[in-house]
Amino acid sequence: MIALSEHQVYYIANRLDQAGIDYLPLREELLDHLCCMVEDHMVDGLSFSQATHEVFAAFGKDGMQKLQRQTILQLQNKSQLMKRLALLVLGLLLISFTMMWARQQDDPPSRRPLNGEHVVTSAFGQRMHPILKKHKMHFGVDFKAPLGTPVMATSDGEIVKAEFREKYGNMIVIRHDDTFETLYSQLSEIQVKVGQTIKKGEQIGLVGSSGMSTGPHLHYEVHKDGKAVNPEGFFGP
Amino acid sequence: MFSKELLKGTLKTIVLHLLEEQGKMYGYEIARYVRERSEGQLELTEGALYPTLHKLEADGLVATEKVQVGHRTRKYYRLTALGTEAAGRKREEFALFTATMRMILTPKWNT
Ligand SMILES: [Zn+2]
Repeated sequence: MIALSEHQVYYIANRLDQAGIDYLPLREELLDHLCCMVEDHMVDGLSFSQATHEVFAAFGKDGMQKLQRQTILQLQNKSQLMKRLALLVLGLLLISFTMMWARQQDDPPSRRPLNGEHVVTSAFGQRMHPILKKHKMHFGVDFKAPLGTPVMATSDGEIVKAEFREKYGNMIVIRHDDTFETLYSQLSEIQVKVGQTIKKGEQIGLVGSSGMSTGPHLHYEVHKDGKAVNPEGFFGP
Repeated sequence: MFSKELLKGTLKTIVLHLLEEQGKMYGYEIARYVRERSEGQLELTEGALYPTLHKLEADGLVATEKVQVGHRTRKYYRLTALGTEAAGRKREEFALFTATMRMILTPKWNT
């Protein structure tokens, strides 16, 4: 039996370090393995340096690195890889939930577009059109108001439309966020431009009767995710 | 010498069986034992043996114990209850596999 001296073991440990073996659970074990190999070679009659040379040559240039990689990879194969995958899926779920939650947190336009109390001459929903005399869906709320009454943005946003349309007359559309847009029409005057950012309560135009309508009023719509919804549902107290 | 692919599927079976038979063994001992017992036909490379041992340990099939030997530390492996169970299962599976292979590889005469 040959047992390597402290100095000899130390020498082999150094060679291991040089080979880049730094995964500790393997390093200690591999050191013992190499020492055993060297001892066996020495039993066969080789000198320590010959035996060491022989052993490291057997592993090749990056054989040890490969062994280390495989050992670590093997451990990751199921347990850690699955954990990482689960973590990734969980993260993605969390992100999408947060985004959905953030969307739902988008503030609806809660302010009224006109100051003071105004009679609603036509509510949201099915109605008999006063001019066309046909049942038609009314996508907004009509507020009766004197010509020239200031119209206010009902929430912060950006002007995305400010133009004349045949039925709507002068109209403005404000995009508030990913969820909400508001539309103001039948205006006698548009006082904003496309691209302009606007604060809640800021004046954007004046009440008129510019489109197909029976008298001065504001036709106001709220669009949630591109679909017209009843504006009266959002008005605060 | 057998091909890497052939050995890959049986390495766990060999290690589990040897540990059950021998009680406790360390890495180099396993490699040398397999070489001697197979009369040189089977050579477990370090690159195959240690990843397998570490995997078995992570899966709870083997437990380890460190012993100071001379100027270095030796890591011994032994089976856990889970490992003993797995050893039996692996042996049965392998016996069935070899029997099946024999069934397929035996020439079939049309009578
Ligand atoms: Zn209207």
